[in-house]
Amino acid sequence: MNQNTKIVCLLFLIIVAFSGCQKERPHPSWNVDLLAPLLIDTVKISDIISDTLIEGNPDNSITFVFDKKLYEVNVDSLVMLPDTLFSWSFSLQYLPNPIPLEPGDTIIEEIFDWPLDFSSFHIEGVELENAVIRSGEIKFEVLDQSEGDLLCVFGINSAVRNEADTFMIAEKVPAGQNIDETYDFSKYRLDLRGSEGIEYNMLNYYLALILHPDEQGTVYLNPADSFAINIYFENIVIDYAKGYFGQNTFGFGPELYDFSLFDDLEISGFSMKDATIFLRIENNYGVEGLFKIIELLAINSSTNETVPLQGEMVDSNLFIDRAVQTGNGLQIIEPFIQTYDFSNSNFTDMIEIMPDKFSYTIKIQSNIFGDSTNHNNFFYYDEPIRVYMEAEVTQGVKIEDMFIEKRETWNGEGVKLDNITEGRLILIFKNGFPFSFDMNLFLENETMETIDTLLYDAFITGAQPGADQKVEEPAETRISIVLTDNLKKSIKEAKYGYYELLINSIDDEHVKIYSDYIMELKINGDFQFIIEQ
Amino acid sequence: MKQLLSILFTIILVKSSFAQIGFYYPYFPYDPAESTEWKWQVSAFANEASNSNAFTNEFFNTANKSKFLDKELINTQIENMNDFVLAGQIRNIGVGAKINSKKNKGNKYLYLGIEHRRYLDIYLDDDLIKLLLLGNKPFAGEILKATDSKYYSIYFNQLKGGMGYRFGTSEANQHFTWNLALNIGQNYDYIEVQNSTLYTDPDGDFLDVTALANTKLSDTVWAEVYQMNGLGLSADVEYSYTKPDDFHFDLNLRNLGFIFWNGDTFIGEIDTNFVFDGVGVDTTSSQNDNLPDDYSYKSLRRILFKDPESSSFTTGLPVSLRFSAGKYFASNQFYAGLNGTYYPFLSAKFMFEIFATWNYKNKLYLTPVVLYSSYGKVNYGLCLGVNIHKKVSIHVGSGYLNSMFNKNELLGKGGFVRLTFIN
Repeated sequence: MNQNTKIVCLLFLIIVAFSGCQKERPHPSWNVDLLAPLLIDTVKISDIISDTLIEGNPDNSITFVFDKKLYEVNVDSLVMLPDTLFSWSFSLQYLPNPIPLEPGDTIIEEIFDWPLDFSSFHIEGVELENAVIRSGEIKFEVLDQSEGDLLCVFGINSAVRNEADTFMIAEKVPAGQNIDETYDFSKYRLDLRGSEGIEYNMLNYYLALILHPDEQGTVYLNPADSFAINIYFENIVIDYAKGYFGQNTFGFGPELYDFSLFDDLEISGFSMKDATIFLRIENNYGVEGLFKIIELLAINSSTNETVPLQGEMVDSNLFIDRAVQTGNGLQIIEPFIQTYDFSNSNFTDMIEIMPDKFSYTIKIQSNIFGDSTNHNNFFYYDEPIRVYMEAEVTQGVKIEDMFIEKRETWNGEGVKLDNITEGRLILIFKNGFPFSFDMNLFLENETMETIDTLLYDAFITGAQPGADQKVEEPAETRISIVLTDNLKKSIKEAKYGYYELLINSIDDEHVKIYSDYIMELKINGDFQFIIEQ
Repeated sequence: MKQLLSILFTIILVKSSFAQIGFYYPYFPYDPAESTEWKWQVSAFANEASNSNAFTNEFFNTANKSKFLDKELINTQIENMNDFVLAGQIRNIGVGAKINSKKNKGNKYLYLGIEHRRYLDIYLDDDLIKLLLLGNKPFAGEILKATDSKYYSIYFNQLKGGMGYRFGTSEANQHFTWNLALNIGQNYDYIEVQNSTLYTDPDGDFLDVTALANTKLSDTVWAEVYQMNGLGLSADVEYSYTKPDDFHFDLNLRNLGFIFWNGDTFIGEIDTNFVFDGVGVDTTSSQNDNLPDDYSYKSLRRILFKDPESSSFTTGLPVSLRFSAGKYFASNQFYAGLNGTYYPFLSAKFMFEIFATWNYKNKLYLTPVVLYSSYGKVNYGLCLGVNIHKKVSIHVGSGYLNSMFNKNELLGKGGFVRLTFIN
């Protein structure tokens, strides 16, 4: 064996030997049968019913608390400003001779107080000291029956905006013509105490008629000449008023008021057992009075059902005291709040028709004790008289076809389902609620289109309450879903999980709810899984 | 023909009954280079042994070839199992050279070599194997226990250098050699499970888990043979006494040393008892936030072992103590003896074999061997040695000929090959 042959043999040997070094780990694969819980979730009562509607009790029972505004009393009806501020005319018929006037000469200039005429719309005894205009206009009409153009200057000295901006306007009135202008009057604060500060309903004005400075030469006033000025309020809404509002009786309604008891729920039927019903009146006005419900009608627009309120409180005078203004000119109010027990009324019957509107007719008598506030009646536009319904249902509710839907984002991309060769998902509902559920569960793509249905019309049995009306054992429902290739694909591709629940009280009975009721939702996997090392 | 090819293939792919053999042939430790007149010897060798007390050859082969383990195969395997499963593999591959001393020819020489070593040692509770192979569903309603299970795998390369000494007379001579090795570690996996149980609710509603386990892993799950994830040192020493034509005795200690593993290691412990009833879903967020998005080995170990450390650690090597002894008969025409190896740190702690060699004119050696080991089974095989003009020697053999080609036999396969050039 020569040297070269030896080297070749040695190299060959080394190569053969080291070829035995395993270059990669063996990757055998096999199927295993797995049975294991995968996901678990619990559903609480607050997940089903908005927690604004429920309140926990020390014994874990749930009180359904409905606190809903029934209606508000419209402030516009209580105090309104008269439409006409004043009408003023000026005739020169008794003028012995024409009077020559040069451009810029003043014909008349007056500063004067003038009262508001509340009697014009049958509100008696109103003595306002201050008011703030929320919105509205002043209409300004001037008639010039002379040979010269006039400059008419009009102001309300007691109307100030932004603390320093007194209402003042000046308009040219062409000879022999009339003008008709409208000015914004919102945000003006009115001092109605007159120039001396001791009056009521009194505004202080400024008025001047001037031969317009642009006239060319002398103009003569003749006995046949006359002038007329009319000032009106238009569409005035008072934001705030103070003074004495008088003893008056106001009727409101019948008016419709939208009502939504179950803001968060779509529900076909709901009834309450042994509910405690209160009517809460919140008076934000600085006026005491008597409040009388003439008629309160619950209306279901869909079914055209109506139920009128019946009970001893109907057509009875309910005294409501006045609110107190604590800030000096600031909108700080301590309202007067009074609740009235309507438990003996048929209010639960009204709720059972699932009203979407209330029609109310009420009457309010103001200042039944006269000027007991010493001209400190007040109101704010934003703080009217409000009427609320408070219902506390402690004994049980009956829910019919309450519909809940929810869409959750779904991230299935990371879920490794490729290794599952066959199997099923087992959905286990351990329902501790005395409600049954009909459930649909869909998987959706990014445009929220359904790409697969996991559950359709799946019935989840409700738990049966015991003798003490409390559920002791949850009801278990198991639903099996075969894990097909399509479903595996959908689970990976889905972007949203969307479910619909239709909830019904078990056995169509009133059921009492406890806060520790839960429904446990669990997903078990029962599948053949391919292990790949 | 197919059978013959299989034998050749198996031999070439380095299956051996020995953890390590020197340049001499243990079944007839006659040294053809006993003459002092040699300059160098180069030897390439490879050996491998795979054993189990429970896994069958078919199961092992299917797994080792990364094939699919079908239900029938798994069920058969499960039926074969005892209370515990022992399995292991030892592989050594290398080349080495002896360079004779110029001044003291034949009595002193330098050794240089490079070797690759792999040890796989598995001791698993049968319940753990059942769980791994069948899943938990077949055992729903039962408690599966893994009282004491270990998985140990290490592979590393060694750069060796040392000296050999021969002294004595022609009546009796002794050899003493020592080697020091620089160990270059590729991979170390150690997982120990103790007193762990799993109970699966019959409906799968919950899993009751008691887990007591610890693990130490080196940087890469399965490093390439050229990678370096740790460094260490070790030593081999060997002593032999030979009385020509009479008897031979040999004792060696190998891999007395360590590897210091560094890099992105993983050290974790779990000691917990919990009932798992599903991953909680936070309805306000994505429902899969709590689910692992990766079920790889690396990801799962992160889930199992909370708060793992990633600090360097040192492990000892799988030390082996080997002895060999035999007697020559009939003017060296026969040699019979025994070999034994003890692995104090492995679960499969020993291997023992007896053999008898027929020597044909120092050119051909034919050796039947009978083998017994910690795996609790007897294997036998045949080894062959050929000397060509005292320049080339070839040694091949296997102690597993009774089991290697029977797929239904318990795993027992291996062999060795060595080629030595003498100049």
